[in-house]
Amino acid sequence: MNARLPSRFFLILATGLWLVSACDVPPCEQEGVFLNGTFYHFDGSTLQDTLFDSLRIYLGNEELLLLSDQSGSSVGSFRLPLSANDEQSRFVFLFGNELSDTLIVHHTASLHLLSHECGFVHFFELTDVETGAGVIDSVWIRKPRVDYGEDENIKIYF
Amino acid sequence: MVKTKTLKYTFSFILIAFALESAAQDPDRKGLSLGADLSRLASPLIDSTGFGWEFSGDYEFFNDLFGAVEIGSQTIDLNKAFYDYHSSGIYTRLGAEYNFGKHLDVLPGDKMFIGLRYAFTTFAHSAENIVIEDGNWGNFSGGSVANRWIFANWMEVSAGMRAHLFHNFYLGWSARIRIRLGVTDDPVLAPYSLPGYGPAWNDTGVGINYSLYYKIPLTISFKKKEKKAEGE
Repeated sequence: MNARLPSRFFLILATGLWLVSACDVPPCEQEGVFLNGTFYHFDGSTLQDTLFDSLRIYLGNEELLLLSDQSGSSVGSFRLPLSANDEQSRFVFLFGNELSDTLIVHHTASLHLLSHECGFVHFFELTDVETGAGVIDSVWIRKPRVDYGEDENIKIYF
Repeated sequence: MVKTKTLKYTFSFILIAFALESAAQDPDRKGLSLGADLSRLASPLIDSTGFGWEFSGDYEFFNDLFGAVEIGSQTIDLNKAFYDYHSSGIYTRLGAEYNFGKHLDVLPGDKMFIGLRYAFTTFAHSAENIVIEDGNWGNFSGGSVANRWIFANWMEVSAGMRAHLFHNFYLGWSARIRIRLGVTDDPVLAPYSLPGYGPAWNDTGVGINYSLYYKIPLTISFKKKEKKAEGE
């Protein structure tokens, strides 16, 4: 067998490997990192998704309206930005005109350099979740790591 | 970015073409090969934010079976509007290679091989003047992280070839598939790039080396023995 034939095969293979290795930089996520949550209620023997006709979420001490879904479609999930300047983030939930509760998320933050162009971003690790004396029954941390993506981090039960 | 990739590919093809055109005329001989990765030395010309070096050594302990060791260094210095980042460390690879060239009837002195490596790295990284914009809670600014040490290890499967140039000089390349085994879980500053491996967020990676080798001959070639016998 001519020695140059297998060497050309490896030339193609090496070029392909280098092309792949040059394309592994993650894209800049313009929307940031969010905690993803979903509402549930226990219907006798099974767990059901919970939907609300109207949902407003305020940041901190009701200073900043984070979410106001008035589109007419029911809302069953949400996403929340966490504070990198503190070890807890506080939110106020208003369900319709009468029901409300407070959610306090305790977390730690770590720095990640995404790429030369994107710079740094914070990822979070949930340590505890508290609620007020309102309509929320309990909260379960399903995935403590809060980073990019739509994986569910917490389940809120009514 | 397009210009950078063009330069990389041009450099690659020039070296590979040079290697393929070289013909080994000298007989196969055993010896200790010392190599330098030319792509590491040329990388600052393409990306000025990082530089490094890599040297290697291999020796044929048994017929067509080589023991190999590679040592290298990587330094990254990033000074941007929203952060400064610095990383510096060394890495080591230990392993073996099998030369299957004889089964393909390659020219004497040339080598076509597959190999296996165990690799590990230790490096320190730090960051300063970090600013992260946040329209909800207020910008995170002035963040800094002092030197933190990271350890990582991985396995590599390699394949490549080496061709004789002239005298005791050889030129070769190898393609690598890397499988990360473990990395320090730093809760404050996540590792960005592992020296010798690549992006820290990848569980696997690929890489390619282009190296110039010098073989220190430790045995006398068969043809020279024949010539001596004829002369006598």
